[in-house]
Amino acid sequence: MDWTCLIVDMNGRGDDLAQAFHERVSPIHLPLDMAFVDVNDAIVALTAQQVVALIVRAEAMTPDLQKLLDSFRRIVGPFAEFQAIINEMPDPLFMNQVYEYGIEKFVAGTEWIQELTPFVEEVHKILSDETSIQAKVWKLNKSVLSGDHVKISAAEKDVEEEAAYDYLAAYSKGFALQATGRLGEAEEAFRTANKFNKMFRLAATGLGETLILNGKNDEALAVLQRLEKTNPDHVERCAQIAVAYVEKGDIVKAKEYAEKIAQNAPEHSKVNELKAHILLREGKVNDAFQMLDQLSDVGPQLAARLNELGIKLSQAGKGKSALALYNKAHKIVTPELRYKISLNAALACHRLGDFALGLKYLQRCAKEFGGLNPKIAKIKQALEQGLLQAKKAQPQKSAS
Amino acid sequence: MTQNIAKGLVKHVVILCIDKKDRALAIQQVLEKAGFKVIQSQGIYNTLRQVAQDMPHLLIADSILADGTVATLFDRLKQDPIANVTPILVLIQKNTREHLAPLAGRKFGGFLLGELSAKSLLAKVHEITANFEDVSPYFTPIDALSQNGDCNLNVLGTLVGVSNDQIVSRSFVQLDPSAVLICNPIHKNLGPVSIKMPSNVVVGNEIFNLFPKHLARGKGRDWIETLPPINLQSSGSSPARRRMIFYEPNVDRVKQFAQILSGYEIEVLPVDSLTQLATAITSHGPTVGCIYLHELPTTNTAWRDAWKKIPEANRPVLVIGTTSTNLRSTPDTRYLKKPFGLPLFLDTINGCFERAPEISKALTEGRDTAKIDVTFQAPARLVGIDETGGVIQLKFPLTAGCQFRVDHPVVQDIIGQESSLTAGASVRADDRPDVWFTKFEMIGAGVSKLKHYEKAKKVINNLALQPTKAAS
Repeated sequence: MDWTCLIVDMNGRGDDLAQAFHERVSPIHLPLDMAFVDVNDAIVALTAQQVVALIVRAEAMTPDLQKLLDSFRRIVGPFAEFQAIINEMPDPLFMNQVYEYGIEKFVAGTEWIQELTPFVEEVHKILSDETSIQAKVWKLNKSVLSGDHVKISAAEKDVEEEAAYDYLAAYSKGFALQATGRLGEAEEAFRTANKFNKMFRLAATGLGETLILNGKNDEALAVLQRLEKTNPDHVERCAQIAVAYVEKGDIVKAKEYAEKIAQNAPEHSKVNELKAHILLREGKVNDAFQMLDQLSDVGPQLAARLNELGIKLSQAGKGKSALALYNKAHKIVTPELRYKISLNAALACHRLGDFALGLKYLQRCAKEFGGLNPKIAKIKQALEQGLLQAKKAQPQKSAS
Repeated sequence: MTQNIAKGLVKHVVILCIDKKDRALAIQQVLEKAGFKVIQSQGIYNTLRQVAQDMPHLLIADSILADGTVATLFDRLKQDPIANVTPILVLIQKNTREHLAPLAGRKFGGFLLGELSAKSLLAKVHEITANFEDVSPYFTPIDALSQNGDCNLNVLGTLVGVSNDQIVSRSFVQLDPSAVLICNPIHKNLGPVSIKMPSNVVVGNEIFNLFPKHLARGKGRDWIETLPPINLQSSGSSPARRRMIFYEPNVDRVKQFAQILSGYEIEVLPVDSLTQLATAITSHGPTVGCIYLHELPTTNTAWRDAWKKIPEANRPVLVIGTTSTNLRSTPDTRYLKKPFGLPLFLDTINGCFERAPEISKALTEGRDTAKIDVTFQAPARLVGIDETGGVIQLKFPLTAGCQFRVDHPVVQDIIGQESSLTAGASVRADDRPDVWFTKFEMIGAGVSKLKHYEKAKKVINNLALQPTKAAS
């Protein structure tokens, strides 16, 4: 499949850009397919096509742009060489905000076509070399998105050598390890990435996020708040800090940050995610449960909380409530986190004695994981045994 | 020729064979103003000797000369196996049979008839030089030799340690901030590292190249971590001054920059007018690490006077935003091509906080330093060879005077493996912002142009007879 470079106009006055694209870009042969699209199509294209590069005309950070850049970061990678913003004189705050996504390159509107050829040639050259760090990281990111843990582990092994000396490879390794639940190793990988490139904020953000998952909330707060000084209004980081306070039990501080996010970016998906997280911590389970439908792409911290709650409900004999929770949670978490929910749902079914349903959940779990791991295999055996016994018991019941 | 080389790369040499001195002088002035190197010569035989010695790119001669006509000059020049490529522009003062007769049956580079104007002269001269793609008529493109031009550019240096986040290297050259280089240690146990964004500090005869450590990537990243810190504190110097004067008329932008920079522990002293800038430099200049100007002021110079008054040892580096691609950074003035991204801005500013005298003093005292000999390498393409050297293509400009080597067999056959080349002008390609051409010289001291070219020509002729060979 051919690789694509997207050109997106966020300013909503794309006529001149479109005209320049059709008159001066379309006729020339470039090593990447060039597509001029609007922001919604860009997000669709990112998931559906082999998009590898992004050029955006934008003046300021908007929720749409943030969503686009975040998608590019997750789907392709935080590659400085693969992204550029068309803007004659970017506001310093805008420069600061897009740097959160690894964007370093700005180009003037009068020069972007001249800069285009070397830009796409460079992207093509880097990705054509399968041994390049960017090519391996891209492959790893795609495996994380698939949620298939077998694929993730294979791609993660592929960057192992590079992760010992390269910040980007180390960061991506951390990202993959976090997705597969190997949190101790993820923490180390993020520390390495952060050591090699202190300017690369995503590594510090990843470290902070993993420290929270590892229960090291104070250290997480130190890392995240140091980073906060460089960009105090960054929504995702504020949300991470709030989560660290939630986990620490300092709900007052958590709410302060939640309020700040709600004011700065009321439409941001993190606003409700954070609210749900706080409600859960406060024990307001029903209120939190009602909010779940409004969430999407929920990250590992809230997912961990939801799993924890589901297990508690199941253990307390409220298996059906647990399953309802798992069903909702499964819809809203990122793909790599789904298998764990399916696994817990299967366990809840085992406790309920609904072995057939449990096997269905387990089948989904194995598909999401990318195969059977020892834990899945063990639960499968237990469910199959339970089902067999239930079937044996069935005729006796009918006979009696 | 298969490659378009950027105009303005080669300084053309013109010999004037004009009897009337006043006229010759007037023409010389016009041509020199337009960037040509001009040599005056009188008489046919002197001119022929001069041509053999200076190998001009153009000969401008009157049709009627004191000791003959331009026809004799043409015929004799055509007999010279080397200089026969020199085009001749004939100045015909009168439209008479006597003045026109020497032109018959000869293929001159061009003619100018009657009264001469600066405009018509320059137009004609540019037209003739364009005939040989604006390089030298002696230029042989590498493609014409069925050779692959790919090669590596090598610059020698010695890594001496790390100062804050900057890898410090001693070398003999200033490196352009846009350079991306592979740092190859001579020691085989140490792996290569990709480094970029060099800044240069010069102390006396010493040149230090500083590279942001966090931008170093590659297998050798581990040994970079083991480079010793250069202990600036114990040299009695003050700690790096993370303060800067920030000139930008848009107050909102200054505020935003100040907020961001405070996150990186950089204190900003904002000014929004050139008058304020001059005052701030006078009051705070010696205690700040750098001065940022959103663009180079063209009118007011008071700020520059104030800056120049600061003793050199304490003079802060100027960081100037520009939309021009022609301005070259120097150790005390660094240009930032606008629009720029935040990391480039921060790395440039951070590089300025490293104080050259302090580094130099610490190194002279020999404290905490390493001595790792390295070759800074970059992919290059040899475009062709001319009478003094040749032209290479790179992804960044070389600073004029920079000494370097290239590992291309053609160059090595001409001057040997260990000999250095000297960079001349660098010009960006018209159609590619990432392609630069650099004219280089390879003539050794005391060697005549002709002797050098004869040797080069021998190599070229030998290669032209051989089948295609890839560069090593």
